[in-house]
Amino acid sequence: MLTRKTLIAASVSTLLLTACGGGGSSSKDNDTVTPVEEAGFSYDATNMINNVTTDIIVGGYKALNFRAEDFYQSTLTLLNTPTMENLEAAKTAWQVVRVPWEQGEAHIFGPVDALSIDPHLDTWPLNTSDLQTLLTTQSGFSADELKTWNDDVQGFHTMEFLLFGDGVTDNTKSIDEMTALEREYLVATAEVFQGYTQALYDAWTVTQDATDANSPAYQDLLLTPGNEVYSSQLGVVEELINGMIGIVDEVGNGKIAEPFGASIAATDTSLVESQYSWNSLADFSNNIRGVQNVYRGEFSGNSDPVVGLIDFVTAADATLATRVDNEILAAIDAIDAIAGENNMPFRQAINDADARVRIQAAIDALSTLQATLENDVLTLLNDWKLT
Amino acid sequence: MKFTSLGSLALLTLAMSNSSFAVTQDELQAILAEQKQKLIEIEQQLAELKKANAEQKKQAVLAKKASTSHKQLASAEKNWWLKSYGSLLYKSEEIFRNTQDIDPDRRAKTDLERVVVELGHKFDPQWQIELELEYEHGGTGAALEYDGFEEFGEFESEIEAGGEVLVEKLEVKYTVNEDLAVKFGRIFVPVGLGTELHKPGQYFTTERHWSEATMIPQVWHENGINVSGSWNGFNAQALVTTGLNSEYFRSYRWAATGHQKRFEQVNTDDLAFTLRVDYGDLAKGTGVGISYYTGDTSGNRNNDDNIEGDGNLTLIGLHGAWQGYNWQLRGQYLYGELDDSAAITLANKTTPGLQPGNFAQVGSEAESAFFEAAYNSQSLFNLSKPLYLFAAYEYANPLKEVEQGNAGERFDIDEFAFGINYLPTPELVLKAQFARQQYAQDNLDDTNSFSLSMGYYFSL
Repeated sequence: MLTRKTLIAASVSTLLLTACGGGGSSSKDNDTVTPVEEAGFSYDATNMINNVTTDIIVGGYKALNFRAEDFYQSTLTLLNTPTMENLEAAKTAWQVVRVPWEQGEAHIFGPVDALSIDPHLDTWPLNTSDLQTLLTTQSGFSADELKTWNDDVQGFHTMEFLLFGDGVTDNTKSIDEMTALEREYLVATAEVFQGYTQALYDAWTVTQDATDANSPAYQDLLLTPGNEVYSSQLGVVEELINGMIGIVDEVGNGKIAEPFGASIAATDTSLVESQYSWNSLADFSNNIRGVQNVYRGEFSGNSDPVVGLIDFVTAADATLATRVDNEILAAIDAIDAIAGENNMPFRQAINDADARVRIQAAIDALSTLQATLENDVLTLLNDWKLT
Repeated sequence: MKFTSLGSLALLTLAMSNSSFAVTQDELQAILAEQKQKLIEIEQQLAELKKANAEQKKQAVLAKKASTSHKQLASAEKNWWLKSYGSLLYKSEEIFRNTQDIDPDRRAKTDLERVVVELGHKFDPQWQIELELEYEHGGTGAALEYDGFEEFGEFESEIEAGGEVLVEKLEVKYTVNEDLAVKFGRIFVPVGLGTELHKPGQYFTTERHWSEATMIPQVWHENGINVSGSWNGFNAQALVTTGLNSEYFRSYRWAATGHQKRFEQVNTDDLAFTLRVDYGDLAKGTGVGISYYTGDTSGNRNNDDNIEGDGNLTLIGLHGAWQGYNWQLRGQYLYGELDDSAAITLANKTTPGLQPGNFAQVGSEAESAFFEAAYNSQSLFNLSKPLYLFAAYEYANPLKEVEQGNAGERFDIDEFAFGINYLPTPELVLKAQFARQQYAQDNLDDTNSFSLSMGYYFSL
């Protein structure tokens, strides 16, 4: 009540001041008034959208699909020739195919979401109880059967569990510890997995709905805005920024913070993703490298002149553009620093006092980046004058 | 009055006939005989009159009786009714966060489960309508608000309250005679006891039976028609109703989530047929029955071009209730089969836009059961109000069998509960219950829960 009265009083006094000529110009000065500069900035996003869509997103899914095929082949080799070398090759192939997937989580919109491909490929936590039961009850495994099972007994983490073991004391499963049935399960999972990566790539490049031949390739919706999904370039850019925000939030507040807990007494190792292979930290930093890919419009290490979201931000505020780039770098560095000198896996790091300090630093770096993307980058859309 | 005038006439006649003294013996005898005859006639008339009078009185009494009972009848058969029931729950339970979690957290919650208002109107002896409005979890609310503190003022959509509001029933009933009736509209699908006994005083556990809700929609209602007939204590119902949609069948609740209430319109390409026979009166406490349901589910999919097979769903239910000697027993067993479950799983995994994609593996068979027994200790403890001591057992396994692979045990759960129901008035029930859940999955320890609930019911 008091606040309202104060507000009314303030408004009334403002009105009185204005009326008394406290501000504003008299009508005589009209000729000399300089026109107010129109706020906002102009930027033609066509090239940027084309580059990010075709090179980063579609290029990333293409790489994912190729590597999924390579991985499938490596599991077949392991099935037919169970040697330590072939097991190591399959483990490496798993880590290699994991990279484009984790980087691609920076743009988890469109078919990967609509076709539920994300849960099919990357459901976590795994249902190890059912998985073990399957290994004891099934006489064999086939891709057709496996497709009709729940997502929590297939995909990345099932393959990881079969290849690396349970990850509690080590991530170095040997070929002697691997049964023929496990290898068969691995092959079936890899085959189904590759089917989904193919479906994902096709949805972006051929037709977004496999059951409707007339539906457009999803990439066309981004490349030619003015459709039912993206009414203009603004919609596309908003989607890209929100995709980045989404993964930064998930890594900082979910993947890292959830197992980390409020204190060393409240940690939960069961929530650590990719814990069997001790690949968690690589996952997290690849997630943020995915953000960097979209932002810079290039995969790291590529030196071709490219356009990315950074050019859009630069058009509005060059200082901000540099700051965002630096904050992305800082977040990646902070995640990479968690392992420390003795290369501690994340699963162990959450229960180590010194490592917890480094983990908190990574969480803080991600929070900073998230706040910048939400408050400074996303809001640029309000000032963008679409041409 | 008539009798008096007849009597005086007779006496007068007698007097006149006695006025002549010059009469012979014979004449006198003849006159006497004549008088006797007249007297007999008079007595006969008198008897007839008495009889008529009594008959008149009797008729008057009957008429009075009839008018009284008619008045009573009119008040008993008022042509409208308003009923309401609802329940409020407090529950402390152990929650598993996901399928990998074997260390549950204890959480507590309160839930205004539902408030139901039932309105009925009888148009005439044959036709009546009944509707039930249900407010689940306290109703729902959204509002458009104006926030003047934003830069130029802003209109914001706000969710003001969670919950659901739904029309659970809109039933038109045509009574052919005492033994035959037809209902149509949005009506209950009488599989199991859930549609029959879902008011707070009709189950002893603090919550409605979760075992049934794990398999089929709770208080299942669909649009359709129900023909019911009674004969010698038997009651049979045959229904044709809208069916379920397999797009939403999931591992954890089998066909229950396939209820099409989430959509504005119900796809009616595949209809379902239900048959139910009961003996006795379950609502009054004693009876047994069997229900059978069959219907295809693929045709009701919104996207039906990526599935082969009808997805036929068949349910069989047995149920019973008994009361006597201060005891009340109730129980049921449900068993269901789903054809093409692997095809449904695959289609649910690959239909664009269909969420959630996980837990798509759906059982080719499912089953559930419950049994509850309660003893009214009022006379035993010499109490002024009913106090029921009850024990209940529930079991559900929505993933009893799968078409391919292994039926996971994660959802194979049973529960043993015991507690009390106290009725401070016949229309109010206060409940308390301890329960222990047991999991078929080896690495999960039993969990415990404690819950309280309040339920009410009234009819105006």
